[in-house]
Amino acid sequence: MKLYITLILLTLTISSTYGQDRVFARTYQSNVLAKGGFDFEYWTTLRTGKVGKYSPFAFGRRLDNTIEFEFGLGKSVQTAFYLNTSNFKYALKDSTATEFPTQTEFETSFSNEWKFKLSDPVANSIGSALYLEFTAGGDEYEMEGKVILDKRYTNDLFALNLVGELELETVVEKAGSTTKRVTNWEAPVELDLAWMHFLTPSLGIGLEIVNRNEIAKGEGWENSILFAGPSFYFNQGRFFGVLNLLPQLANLHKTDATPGNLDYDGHEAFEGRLLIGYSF
Amino acid sequence: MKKLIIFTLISVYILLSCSPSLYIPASSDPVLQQKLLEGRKLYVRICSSCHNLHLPRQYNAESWRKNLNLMQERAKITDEEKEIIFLYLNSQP
Repeated sequence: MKLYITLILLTLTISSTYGQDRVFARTYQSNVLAKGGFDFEYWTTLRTGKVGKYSPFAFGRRLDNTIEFEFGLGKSVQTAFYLNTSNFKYALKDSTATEFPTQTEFETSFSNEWKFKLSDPVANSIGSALYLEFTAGGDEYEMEGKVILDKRYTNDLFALNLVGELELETVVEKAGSTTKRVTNWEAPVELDLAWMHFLTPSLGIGLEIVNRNEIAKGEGWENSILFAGPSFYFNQGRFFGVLNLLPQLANLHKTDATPGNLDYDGHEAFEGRLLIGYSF
Repeated sequence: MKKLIIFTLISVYILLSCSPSLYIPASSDPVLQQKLLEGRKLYVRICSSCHNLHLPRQYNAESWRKNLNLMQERAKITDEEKEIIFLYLNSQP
């Protein structure tokens, strides 16, 4: 039995040296793949909620799936390509039926990401990287930039992301008998803070905190929603996985548009994400 | 917004006030010191390009030997480079 346990621990210890070691589900780290390195990742994100006072939906559920291919280009640069799909299922609130009729929608989009590592979280005082992502799907276009900071201590890793997005959507508006195309924009700002404690080099338990701030054309700064929840990380050989559970906790910036302590109109009540990956 | 800015600045300050977690050798023997510095440089340059660096104290000499033997082919390092990295990883006081 002792030999068996020793062999398992040894395997976990040795195998932990593989891979890019992504340990958070939402918060990015500064590390990049080596030149010629290749990672495959699959994410699935469940969002539930949409039961707010002003929401037209009695309930809602959304399942996002992402397939990602990451490539190391050398000189501390990495790129990645994503294929994203979203399934929405929701019920309209104003139905008089005892059971709400449900509707479903399906969307796809494509993303391209670039990450530039500037310093290392172990060898330097602080790890840092810059991140850019472009997404196109249907009538929507998104551009996202992140400043990534992280720091590794013996058995603990801390990471902070400052995220800015610009989302453009073209819609057709009717004004009397004429129609015109209008481009609306939103510019959410997000702060992500994460901590992971490694129980062994292959197993970790931590916390991720996400603060989303909605800023929209004609509306200004609408709200500031705080989410936080536990994350669990493991790796085995070239496989790695992360699970994060993220309930909505508070609205830190109340406005006429979002007066409550929580916002279920524009944000989900709960998010859960499972990420699995393989390093080639 | 004020709270957010303060929270961000405090977080950034905490992160920036850190010193490198990876020890910098300070041997009184100049030949050994040069080797240890070279070992650190190789370890950072080669190993961190593929994965997060592990701290020397996270493993004992036996485990480091196994890890380095396992990673040598993937990292494309010579036997000499491997030994210099091993020396550095096992020299932290």
